[in-house]
Amino acid sequence: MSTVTDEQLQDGLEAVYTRDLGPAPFTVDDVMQGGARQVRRRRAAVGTAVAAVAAGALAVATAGLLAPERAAPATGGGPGLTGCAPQPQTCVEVVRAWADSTLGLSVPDSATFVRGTVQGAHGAGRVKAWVLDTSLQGPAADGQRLDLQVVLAPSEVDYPVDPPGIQPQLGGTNHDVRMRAGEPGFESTSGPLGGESRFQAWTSPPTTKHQAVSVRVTAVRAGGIATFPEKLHDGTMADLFWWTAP
Amino acid sequence: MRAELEEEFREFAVAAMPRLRRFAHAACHDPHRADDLVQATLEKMYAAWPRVHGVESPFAYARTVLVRVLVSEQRRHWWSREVSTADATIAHLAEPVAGRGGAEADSRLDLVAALAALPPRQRLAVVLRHLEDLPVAEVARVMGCSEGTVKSTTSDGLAALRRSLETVVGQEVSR
Repeated sequence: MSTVTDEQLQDGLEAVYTRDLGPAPFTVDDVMQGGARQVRRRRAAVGTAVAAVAAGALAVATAGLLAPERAAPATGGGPGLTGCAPQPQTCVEVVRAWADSTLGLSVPDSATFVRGTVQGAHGAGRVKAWVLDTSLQGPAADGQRLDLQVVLAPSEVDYPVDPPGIQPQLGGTNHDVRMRAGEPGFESTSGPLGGESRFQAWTSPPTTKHQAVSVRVTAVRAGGIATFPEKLHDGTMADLFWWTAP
Repeated sequence: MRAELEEEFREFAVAAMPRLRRFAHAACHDPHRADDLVQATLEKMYAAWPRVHGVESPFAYARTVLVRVLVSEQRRHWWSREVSTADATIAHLAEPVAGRGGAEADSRLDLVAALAALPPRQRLAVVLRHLEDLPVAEVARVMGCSEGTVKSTTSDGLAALRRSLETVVGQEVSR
């Protein structure tokens, strides 16, 4: 039989809990100074991201995929940096060139970047970003549709603190990937979307030259056995798309 | 931050600090680390204050932040954690309280040692459930687990505390 009753245990715990802890080794002023430092650091990070947005420099632009006549001068980036206009409408051309050279598919003329929001990783709040949503056109197999989403997001954003204490990054992955066709070491994330649909996504981490870029291709299958055209595969991007067997 | 918000935060911090410290000291057996946790929590609260000052219970919000900071720190690699060598908790508790006998200090010492010996999640569950007096659902939300896990973790924690105290009582009786 237990010699320690529930009441004794609870009383003991409460006595421990309510003991005098002595003076705190810090003051409220210390806390406020520390908090103000955090706010300043966060603002500086956002300022850096805003500068990157102003420069509009996508990794693909620096990779030379942007036609010279389309390239707008950088407005806030480093010397000699070519990139998109302050508003990334010309980035559509970059995406178009990428989709054509990498996937052999075309981006509709109507596709454009619009100001939107995307969900941050790990349940973080929504992040303001430039988003291009479109369906790719081309010789896809029967009954398929390829949806493309490109997100240009600040490298760091002021997330709502929900859940508290977590400061996630957009994309949630840490792949060192650029939107460059035939790039060695091309990595990606992928997974099922329900049913037989799958997605393939690439995330470019923010660098000093460009903002975070997330590219997601979603294969929506309407039915039947589908195989993606072989020409979409190359040595560096094997298994870019695949399908589950019915 | 606007002056009135700063003043509001100051009032909140002054009022919440003792309770946050009690909670942190119970949830984390190292007193220096506990105070660091409270300071880090309040700094995060300050940075977020323009967004969170209107929530129903800023203290509950701060407590959740503290738990997340504590869990994040526990997940850090062992070589990147600061380790305190001073066992100030036990030294502090061994001092008899004025007007009370040394036996009471001994029993508190035993209980603190037993609480410190619990695995972190059991200790956290016991503290949230039985000392912060939160309902099971709220503990589950704060700890990010199911209600069933909270119940079993709390039960295991209390059983471990009881076992440790019974061992001490048994040793005292046999002396």
